[in-house]
Amino acid sequence: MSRPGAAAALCLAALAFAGCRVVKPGDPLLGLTREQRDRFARGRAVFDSVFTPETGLGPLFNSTACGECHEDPKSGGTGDEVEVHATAFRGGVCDPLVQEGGPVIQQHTTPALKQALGIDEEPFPPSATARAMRTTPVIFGRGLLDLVPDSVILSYADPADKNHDGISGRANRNVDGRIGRFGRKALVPTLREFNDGAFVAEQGVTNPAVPTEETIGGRPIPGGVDPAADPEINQDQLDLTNDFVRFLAPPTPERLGGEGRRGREIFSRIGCAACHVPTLRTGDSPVAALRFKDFAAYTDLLLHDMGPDLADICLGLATPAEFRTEPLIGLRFIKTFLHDGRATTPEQAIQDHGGEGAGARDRFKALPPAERQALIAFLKSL
Amino acid sequence: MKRGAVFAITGVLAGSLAGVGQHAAPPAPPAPQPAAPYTYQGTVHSVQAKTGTLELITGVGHALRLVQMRVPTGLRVAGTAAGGATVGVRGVKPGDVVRIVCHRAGGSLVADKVEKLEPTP
Repeated sequence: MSRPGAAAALCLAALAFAGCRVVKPGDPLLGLTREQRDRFARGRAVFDSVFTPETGLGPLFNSTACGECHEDPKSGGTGDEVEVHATAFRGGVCDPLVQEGGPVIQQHTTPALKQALGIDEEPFPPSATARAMRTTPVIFGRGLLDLVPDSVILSYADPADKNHDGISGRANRNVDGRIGRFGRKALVPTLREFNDGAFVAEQGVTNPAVPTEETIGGRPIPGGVDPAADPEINQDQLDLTNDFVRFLAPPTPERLGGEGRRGREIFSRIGCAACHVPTLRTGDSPVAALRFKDFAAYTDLLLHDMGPDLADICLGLATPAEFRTEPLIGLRFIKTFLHDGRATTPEQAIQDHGGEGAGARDRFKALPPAERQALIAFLKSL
Repeated sequence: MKRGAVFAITGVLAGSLAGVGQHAAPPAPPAPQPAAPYTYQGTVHSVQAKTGTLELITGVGHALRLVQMRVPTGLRVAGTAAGGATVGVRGVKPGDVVRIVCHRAGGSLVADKVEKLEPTP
């Protein structure tokens, strides 16, 4: 059976097993225990908590709550915020510019920091060779992506393009050498680490995993501007938030009609599925709802060269032109597309693919209008 | 590997001295406490051969941090690839992924063991 065919069969089987329950955006995974559902609900409360300087916000931040950005159509969804990242790429080596406040350049300051330094945002690193704009992705189904074994990710890699299909794909590495998978450049190995780091990088909320504040362009925070003692949230709050995020289910795709089914076949035929791998399988987990699950991922979690027009920053091993294949889970809830939101429709996003995606893009552009429309109908069902 | 491995503190600070009774005999001087070891795993950001120091990029998620430490002259850097060893801070270069066991001395970190890591698998 072809991969997309297998994916469809699995989805149908999953629906049948679940008693045809439709999972809405923001819902927990099916099959969680009562205790896990309780933690999901309590974790959502932390996720949606609005922080103030007195409760830990800032002094630099991008947002006052996880749920302020990840809000549409429900907690864990997308948002209209766009943030700034900066790094330097010299001689083939990526410098995340930690010494100048990188790679995340916060766009807001608390009133106390503004009063102390007269700044409204973190200064842009003077050594940066590129600026990246980053939209808010939906984070549904990330707990499943978290549990895809490294060996599965590596099985899709073909860094030397030995099969000559024009698609290479390689894994990124975290600063400590582990394989990454989260973030637009796949720097971060685990969902927990991504969340732990995001509390500080996005909200300035220190926690037991990251007990120190971000610097301001590489310089320490001036005294007296951060009234909350570190860590600003405790381990329980951190764990609950992590449980909320990892238990967020992928929303059930919309039911496909004939056009959508044709589109799914075209998706595979023109080569989209070579990188947007339709189905991945999780490994072992103490959580039964996450253990050995096949799910519609539409990613290989690998880096691919997307060509010079999309290039921005480097990160880890990722060159400026390399991006992780975006999972297409919950695509119908996205309002702007690609890493920086430059595309306003899925069709435009496909047409903006370059590099390793150029072949599929060109085959898409060569399709008769009805087939193009069918492919878009399929994508809008996800 | 768990997140703690990124920024792991493998030891704890020595406990405070026990109190002594007002009329007790003068206590023996406390036994020297071993400095708590720290283990960092990250990417070498910079190397200053003149001062024997290096900066390491560590962190969690996108919250990256720089850690500075001194590598004593003569400390051997274990390299997993060649199986051999080079000496001192010259044994590493920016971009290398390393695991460093170190201790705090006089307010700064001093490396006790430096191991260059190969990507796995």
